[in-house]
Amino acid sequence: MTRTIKRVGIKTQLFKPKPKQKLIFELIKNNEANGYYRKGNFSTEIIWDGKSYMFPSKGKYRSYTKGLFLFGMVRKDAKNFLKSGRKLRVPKKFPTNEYNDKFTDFDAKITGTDLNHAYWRIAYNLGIISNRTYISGLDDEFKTVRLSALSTLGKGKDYHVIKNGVFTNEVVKIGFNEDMDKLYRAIRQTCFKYMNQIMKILGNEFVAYKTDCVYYVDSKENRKIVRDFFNEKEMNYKQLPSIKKGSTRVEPLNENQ
Amino acid sequence: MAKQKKHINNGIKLYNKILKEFTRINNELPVNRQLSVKQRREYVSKTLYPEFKGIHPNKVGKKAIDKSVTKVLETVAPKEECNPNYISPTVYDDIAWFDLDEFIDEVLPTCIYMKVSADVFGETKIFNTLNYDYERSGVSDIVEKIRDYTKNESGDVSFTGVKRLRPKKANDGSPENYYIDMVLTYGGVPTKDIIPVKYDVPKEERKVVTSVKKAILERVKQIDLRKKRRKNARKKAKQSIADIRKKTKRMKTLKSDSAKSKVRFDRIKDFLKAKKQIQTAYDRGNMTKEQYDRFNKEIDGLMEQVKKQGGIV
Repeated sequence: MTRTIKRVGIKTQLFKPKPKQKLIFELIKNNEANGYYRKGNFSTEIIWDGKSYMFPSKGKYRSYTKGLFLFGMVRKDAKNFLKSGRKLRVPKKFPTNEYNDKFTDFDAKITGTDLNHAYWRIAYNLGIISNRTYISGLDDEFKTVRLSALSTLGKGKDYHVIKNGVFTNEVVKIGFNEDMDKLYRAIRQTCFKYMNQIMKILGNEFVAYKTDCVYYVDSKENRKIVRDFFNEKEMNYKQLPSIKKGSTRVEPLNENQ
Repeated sequence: MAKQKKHINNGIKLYNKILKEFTRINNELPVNRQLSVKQRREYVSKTLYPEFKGIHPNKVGKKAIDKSVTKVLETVAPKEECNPNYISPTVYDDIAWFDLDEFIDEVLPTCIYMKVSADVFGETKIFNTLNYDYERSGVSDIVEKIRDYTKNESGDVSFTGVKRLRPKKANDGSPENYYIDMVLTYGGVPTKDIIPVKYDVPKEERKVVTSVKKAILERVKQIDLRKKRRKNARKKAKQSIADIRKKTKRMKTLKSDSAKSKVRFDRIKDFLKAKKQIQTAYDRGNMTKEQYDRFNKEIDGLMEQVKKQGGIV
C-alpha cells in the first residue's frame, strides 16, 4: 500500500503528561479541527495546527521514555550538519554479515573484536552528532534509544488523519526527509565498509563479521592488526575471549590482551 | 495677612484636559482601534500637548482637541490580532497556572476580551487585555489561591482557553463580540464545558490568521528565551558557589604548600568570577533583587568563613 507523503510544518514540540491527552482530543473534537494522530509503542503523538503533542507511555518503557531527549538532540545535530554544507558520501553497499567460506581450519582458536556503540561512534566521527550528544547517549540504558534516534533520522512516520475533529482511517506519511535518511545510510554503510576493509586485511585468517563484530583466527599479530585498524578509525572496541571453533569452551583473556 | 494666591500649573491642567478628551474618544472606538492608557499618554506627550502648549487650558476648546485626536488616531492602524476568531486554539490550549499572568500580559494580544474561570478558586469578570492589571483584574487572587492549594508546585492544575460569545452579542465575527474563557483543568479534566462558539473565518481573512499566529509564536519564543536565560543565570551562580565550596574542602586535604597556594589562587578567581556573574545577571534582568541578594549573601558568607580559617581571599 502506498502512503501519501505530506509536508507538515511543526513549529513546536511539547511533551505532556498522559492525562492531558484526553483534553487535547476533546479540544480537537470541539473545535472541529484538522490534524494527525499516531499511537506508537513508546508514545502517542498528536499534530494540531503546527504543534506536536507527545504523550510518553509509562511503565515498561521507562528507560526508553527517560532517554527521549536524545531524539531531539540527534535531530538537531543532524540538521546542523546538513545546514553546515559539509558533504558526506554514502559508501557503496556492503553486506551486513559476511563469512569466509574458504576457512576450513576447524581446530584454530577464534577470537572476535566487537565495536562499542558502533553506529553512535561513527555518527560522532563523521560529525553528524556533537560531542555533547555523543556523551549524553553513552549510558548503557540508552542503547535502544540511541539506535532508534539514529535509525529514525528522516524516516517519517505514518499518521492517521483527523478531519474536522473526526478520527479517520486515512493514513499519511509525515516527516520523510531524504537528506536525513542519507545520513543514517552513511553511518551504517561506513560500519560495513570498515568490516569489509578489515576482512580484506586479515585475508585467510578472517572467519566472519556480523554488523559490528569481526571474528578471526586468534594470534598476537591478528589482534594487533585489528586493534591498529580500529584505533586509526578512532573506534572504541572490546576484545572478545578466544574460543576454539566447534567447542563451547571459552578461554579467559590475558591481562596484556 | 494677605491671602496667598494658589499656584495652578496650567501645563498639567492642559495635559489632563487633552488626555481626558482622548480617553472619551478612545472608549467610543471599536476594540481593535482602542489604545491603552500608556499609548494614549505617549501620544499626548509627544504629539498633542506640544500642539497646544502655551495656550491657557480654558482657551483650548474641546472641538480643537477632538480634531487633533482624530488626526492622530487616523495614523494608527487597526490591530489585526484583536479578533479571537483569528487566534488559533492551540495558542491557549494548556497554560500552567503559574504562567497565567505572563500569558495574559505578554502572549495574548492587548485588545481582546477574556475571563478566568477557576471553579472553587473563583472567577473574574470579562475584562479587556488592553489595560490588564494582575491585581485589579482578579487574576492574582485566583493564582494565589491555586498556589496555596498546590503548595507552589506545578501540580496538574492548568488552564484551557475556550472562545465564547459575550452576553447579548451576535455571532457575526466582530472582535468585540467574543471573549476567551480560561477554564481551569485538574489533571486534564476541565471544570466547565469546553465547547467553543463556532465561527468560520471568511476565506479572504484567513491570511490574517496565519500572521496573527506567527506574531503570537514569536512572543512565546521570546518568553521562552527569557526564561531560559534566567534559569541559566541561577544555574551558573549555584555552580560557581559549589566550586568555591569544593575548593575550600580540598584545601583541607592538601599537604604541599605549592598545591595549597594554587588552590588558594584559583579560589580568589572563583570568588571574583561568581561576584561578577551575579552582578551581570542582575544588571541584565535575569535575576530578581531577592535572588541577587541571596546569592551575594552566600558568597560573602563563604568569604568570611575562609577569612576566619586564615585563608587569603
